[in-house]
Amino acid sequence: MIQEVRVMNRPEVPDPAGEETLFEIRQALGISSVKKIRTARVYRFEGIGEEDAHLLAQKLLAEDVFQIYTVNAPVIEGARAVVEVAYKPGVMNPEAASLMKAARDLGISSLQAADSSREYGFYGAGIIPGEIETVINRLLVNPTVEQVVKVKPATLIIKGQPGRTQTIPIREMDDGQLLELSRDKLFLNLEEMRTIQDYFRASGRDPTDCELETIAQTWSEHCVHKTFKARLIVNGEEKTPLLKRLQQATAEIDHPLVLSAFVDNSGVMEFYHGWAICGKVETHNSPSAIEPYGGAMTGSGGVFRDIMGTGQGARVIASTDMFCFAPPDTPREDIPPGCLHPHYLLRRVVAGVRDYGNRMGIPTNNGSVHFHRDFRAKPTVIVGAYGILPKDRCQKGKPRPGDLALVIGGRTGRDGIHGATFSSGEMTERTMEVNASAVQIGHPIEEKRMSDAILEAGAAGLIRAITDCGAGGFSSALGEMGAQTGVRVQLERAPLKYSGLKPWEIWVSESQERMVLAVAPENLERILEICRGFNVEATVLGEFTGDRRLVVTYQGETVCDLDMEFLHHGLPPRVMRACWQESAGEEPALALPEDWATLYCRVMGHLNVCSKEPIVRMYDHGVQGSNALPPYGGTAGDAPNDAVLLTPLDGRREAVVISHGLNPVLNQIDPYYGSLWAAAEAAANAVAAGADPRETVLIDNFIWPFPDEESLGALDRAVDACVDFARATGMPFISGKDSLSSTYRTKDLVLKIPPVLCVSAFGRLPDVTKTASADFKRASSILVLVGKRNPAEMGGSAYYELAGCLGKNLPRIDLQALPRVLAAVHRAIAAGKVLACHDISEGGLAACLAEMCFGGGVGARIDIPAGERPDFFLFNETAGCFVVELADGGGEDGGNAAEELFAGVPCLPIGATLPEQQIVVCQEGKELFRVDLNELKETWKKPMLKVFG
Amino acid sequence: MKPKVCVLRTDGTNCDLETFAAFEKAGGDCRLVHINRLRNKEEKLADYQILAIPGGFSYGDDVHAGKILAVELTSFLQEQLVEFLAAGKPILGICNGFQVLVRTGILPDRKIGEVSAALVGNDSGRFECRWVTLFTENTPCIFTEGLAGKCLNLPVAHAEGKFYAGPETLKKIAGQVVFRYAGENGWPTQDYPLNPNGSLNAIAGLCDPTGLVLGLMPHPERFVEHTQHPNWRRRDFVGEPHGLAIFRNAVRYVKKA
Repeated sequence: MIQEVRVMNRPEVPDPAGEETLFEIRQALGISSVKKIRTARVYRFEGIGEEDAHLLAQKLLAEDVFQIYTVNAPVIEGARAVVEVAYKPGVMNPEAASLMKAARDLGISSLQAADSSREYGFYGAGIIPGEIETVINRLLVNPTVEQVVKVKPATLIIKGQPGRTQTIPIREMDDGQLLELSRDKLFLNLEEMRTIQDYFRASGRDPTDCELETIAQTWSEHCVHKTFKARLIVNGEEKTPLLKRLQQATAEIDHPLVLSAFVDNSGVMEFYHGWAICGKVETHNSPSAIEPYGGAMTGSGGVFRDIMGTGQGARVIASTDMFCFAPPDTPREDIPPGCLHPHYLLRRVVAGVRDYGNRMGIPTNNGSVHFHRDFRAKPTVIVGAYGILPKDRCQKGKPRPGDLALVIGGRTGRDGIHGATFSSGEMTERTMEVNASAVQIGHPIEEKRMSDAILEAGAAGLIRAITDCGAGGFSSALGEMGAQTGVRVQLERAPLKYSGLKPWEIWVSESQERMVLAVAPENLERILEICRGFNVEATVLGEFTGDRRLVVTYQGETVCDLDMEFLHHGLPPRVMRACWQESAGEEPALALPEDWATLYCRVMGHLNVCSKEPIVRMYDHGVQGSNALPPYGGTAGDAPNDAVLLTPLDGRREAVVISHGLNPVLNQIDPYYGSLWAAAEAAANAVAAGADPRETVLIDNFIWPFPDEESLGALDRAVDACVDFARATGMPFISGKDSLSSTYRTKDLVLKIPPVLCVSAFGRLPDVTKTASADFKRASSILVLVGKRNPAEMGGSAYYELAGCLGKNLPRIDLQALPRVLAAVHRAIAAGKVLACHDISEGGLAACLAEMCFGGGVGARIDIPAGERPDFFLFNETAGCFVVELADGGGEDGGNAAEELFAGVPCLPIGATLPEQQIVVCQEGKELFRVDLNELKETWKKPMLKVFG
Repeated sequence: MKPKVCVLRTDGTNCDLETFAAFEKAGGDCRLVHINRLRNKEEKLADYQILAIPGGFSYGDDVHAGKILAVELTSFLQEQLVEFLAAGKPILGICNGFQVLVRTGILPDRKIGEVSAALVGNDSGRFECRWVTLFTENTPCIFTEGLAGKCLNLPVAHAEGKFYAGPETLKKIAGQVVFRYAGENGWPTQDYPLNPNGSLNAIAGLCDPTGLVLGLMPHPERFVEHTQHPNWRRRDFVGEPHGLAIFRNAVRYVKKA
């Protein structure tokens, strides 16, 4: 029998979880009949009696100081409706293991299984049943992972008979059957299916399900980047494959600080004192689209493991997050079938990133959120991570024949099966149903202790090679690690969450928080002991051989026996066609605005300009004690900075700088200039904080619609932009990722999500005290606009969008001028001449200036040069331009400081800071308008407060 | 002789390295000690002069923040803890460590197993990461010697930091409140976000009646270098970063004792 303990706060104690749900019901669903919500936790235990249930309630579950509990009885009283929401059976509830542990610690040994869930009691005389249904369906339950519990479960133990390995008669199939086999499961095209058929025809046998799954995973777009490696015909002419172009540019730059580019789980550059730093940025769009909380969590967990699996193990020192959603107030009827509403997505994605990073103790301190209607079918969720590791252990390790394959961390379940192949496919109405198993809830504590163990094992020199068990699970991790040697795996050794998995499921399961290590046999005992010390499970799965075959057995039966050569090089190279046509957009003819102050406020309140502080406050950006430039600072702690600075070595001044840039709207006009903008924005953000462009490197993330000719043409231009940017600035790309599945398709609707290029920048600085923040430091300082821009290039701006147009004349970053501008700004900051510096991005000079004023608690007066259109001058969004606050006008020899500091680069004195809390805009000395900072700040803060409270 | 500091860690502890660094900077001789090593007797608390329970999410903060670790300490290390307390050695619990100290009963009354107060979910319903101003009360707390009447700037980062207790307990512990959330003028406040979690009586930190045990939600270990302050570029600092004194006081106390 199952014992149930229900716990809730005493009536006089607030119930924040209930209040938050109430807020969401009112904000997101507009339901006002619910007046109060009280929540309770429900704990279930199998294998114990009622007496032990009381003991657990008193010693563990309920704290008498503020809570009450019941055993096997309801606890919420007098509610109009009580609804219990639980994870579905089979979805790992991370709390279960803690319940088991604490019960053991309390001396209760008979407990067999435990689970927890939450009950909601809805109060309000006017509630009608339909409203509760709405709350359940739209807010409380994501049917992918959760369910309403109506009947007390009979058992909590998941059991099942292990399924058998099957043989698939692929040799006999015609093309139609091959495609049917591929659909929803393997996601391969006909040519690839035929190649597999040929291989097995030549082998004289049919494949097992495990072999087909292995090939499909290894050949998935997600794992092998077919498009980026394809031979490309653009408008009839062959061009170098995309990936090769990026790698060639990096090779040509031959940056002296780069230690590893494009070969390991992250890109590595030299730091100081024998240390190296590394960075990796990943997307997790498909899982986040169907289960945003779990999807964002596992996205964070995955990219952290990429860092942990770099070289012989790195310590994660930072996390970043960049999201694109449809506006949170998008009408529900505009959301395509099978897709979740952006208000829900935004809140849940933020919660996922928050819970993973905070619990692992990784500061999340750089990020952004972008909104555009066209993300309504699928959000873009980008998560980055950065790490530090000893330079002498920073190269990717190679297993040797005889080394043992050790899996450490979490157990394997039926989680995330087909994640690699699924995320390579387009999203359709069927996606939610068929691929539900592709998402799971992350377990950050499992990953944290695994990280602790890896760092200790790495420091003891016990790790030969290490990799993340991410997309494709063991299949990918062991298949890649053993590519040069061969590997033999005994799959029945893998620790499972529950019985009943088929061998191929164990093999490709993407259960989180697992890593695979190659360990020399003589080091095995020591590494097992370290793992035990940190409560990390570690199991030898097999060994690396010398026969270059991938052999997997399950209880003596061979379930997979593939030639590594075929597996890794048998994929037929693709030839892909692309075409590019200029967008047909037009440049609008806008009249000059009349009410300037209102317009200024509206721009500040634009979703892509407004403050994102409520999100940032939920992320622990100070853990590890390394933060030297927070996301929001200034006198009131609410003014944004451009980048993050970290001092990862205790008590030392050497710093890491991290920043990023993206602008999906510009890519809709022209992906070349949109991509240049993204790269320039990333670099400018870093430099505004003090980065040295000569010691900064880049990471690319292409999130693109399914590569048809048109989208591929756009992608080709974006890659050209990256290459041109790298060559012009000398900043190499050292890591990157592409996700080419941003298309939503049903019978009568095809939606292409706007192409996104996110460029991340990271670098090193010798002295953190020679950096700058964005908040103005005092009144009566001189303000200088540094950088080249053509104010008429207004295409894609927030200002245009507010006027209802996109435009065509977008900012075209000048690659001749930009490197000189970046170098000059860096020099000025390093020389200590700059009081504050902020780069111009969405919202233009106007937003930049306002944010600097917010930070300093001072106003500003600017003078627009004669002949400039004031609206363009204020709201142009050209990246790579800066507002710089200088102490005074006096240069070294009584000359002009601005002219001395910025000799040879475009530079314009625009005004001064003021003691008054106002921004005053003049042209030719005549006042055009003035606006109160308070008014600007309020509209700037409002949109996210509305979503997050 | 540098005092030996046991920085306790377990699954999900994540402020251990910076707590280690802060105590080292203050003159301590630190070890990171996993609770497994205490449970299986590879280490014993008696070999240390100071015990620090750092911040983090021990065991995921499942059930209640710090609860699973509190149960573990109460079940397996009760004798060692009693001995440590009886020997007059200081204990510092930061954030999750404070939650653990309250959930073991070591705070407020040094009675292991008797829980008389709680740290509950923030009124905002959210994790809160922000800098706060703390007013330091005049108490016997050895960690705040010389700080009484002063205001400290420190960051908080937690979701369950609201100090809660019944009226009688609150009255009883009035003299043990070490830190209160305050406005810039130093007055204790219930206003959000100055009081980031809605703590009763603005309680941010608490000591036991002897002053040897301190628990606090804010993170002093995150302000032991000037550049850790979010506005270090704006400020002319007089003296040292505000968190350091707490660690220095503990080290000094042990050296004197």
